[in-house]
Amino acid sequence: MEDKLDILIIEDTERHRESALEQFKDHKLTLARNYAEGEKLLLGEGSYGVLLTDLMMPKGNRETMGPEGMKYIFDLLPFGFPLAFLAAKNGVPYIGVVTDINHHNHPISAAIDPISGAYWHDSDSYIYRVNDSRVGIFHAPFIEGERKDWNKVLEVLLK
Amino acid sequence: MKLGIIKNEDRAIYKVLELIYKAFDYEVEIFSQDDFQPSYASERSLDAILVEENRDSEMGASFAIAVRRSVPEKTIVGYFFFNPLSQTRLKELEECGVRNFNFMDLDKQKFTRWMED
Repeated sequence: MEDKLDILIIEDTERHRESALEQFKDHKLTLARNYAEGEKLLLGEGSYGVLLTDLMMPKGNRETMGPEGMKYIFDLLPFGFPLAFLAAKNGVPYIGVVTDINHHNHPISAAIDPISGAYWHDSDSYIYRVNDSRVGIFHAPFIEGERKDWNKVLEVLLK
Repeated sequence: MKLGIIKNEDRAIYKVLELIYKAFDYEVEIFSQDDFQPSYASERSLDAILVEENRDSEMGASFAIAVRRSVPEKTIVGYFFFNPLSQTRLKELEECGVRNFNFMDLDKQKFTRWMED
């Protein structure tokens, strides 16, 4: 693994953010809690070597929303995909979309099976090239406490 | 009983509501639409969340629907309005499980009934 990476994690679940803090102590880590925060960081002046993002999360602000859109601002929606493409557009070299939702429990989780495999595996069979970025879509591996094992995901991306 | 009021920046009804509810012996916490998080319903032990209307649009009503969709079912979600809403909009709120309360109708008896229904 490279010495020190500049990693952006976009994750709305506190225990998964905490596991990122524990696992990436030796890297420079930036955390965002929703789409709006993530978008702002990706469009800002900082540059990141790695983006690891959750799949489902809330929008995080009311920007652009009219009365119809406002109804959905707290819904958990698959913002991980636009964030991954935004990161690829802005040149982030390693990008992972990582969901903890079991494919039996949500249609969007089942829908990523053909592009991610149905369960976690540590091969790079499902890594894609978007612009110059390596992009992976993953059913999350876990450490104790049902917390995401971000490190395993990073290792696969960097292979 | 603890109430959360989500204020709208361009209205001041919430200030009046806060005074009234405190007079009714309810505990009140004020939030803005920008800083409210659905997790506050359980974290702050809110029994009811009341959303203040927006002046020039129906954004407040839509915000109330967003809140209703994202907090536990046991938490009452209400929309307080001063300007009349269309019947269609009122029906939509009702169907989503948002309780409507016309500010002009406010009195203690009615409010207590509204809360305890």
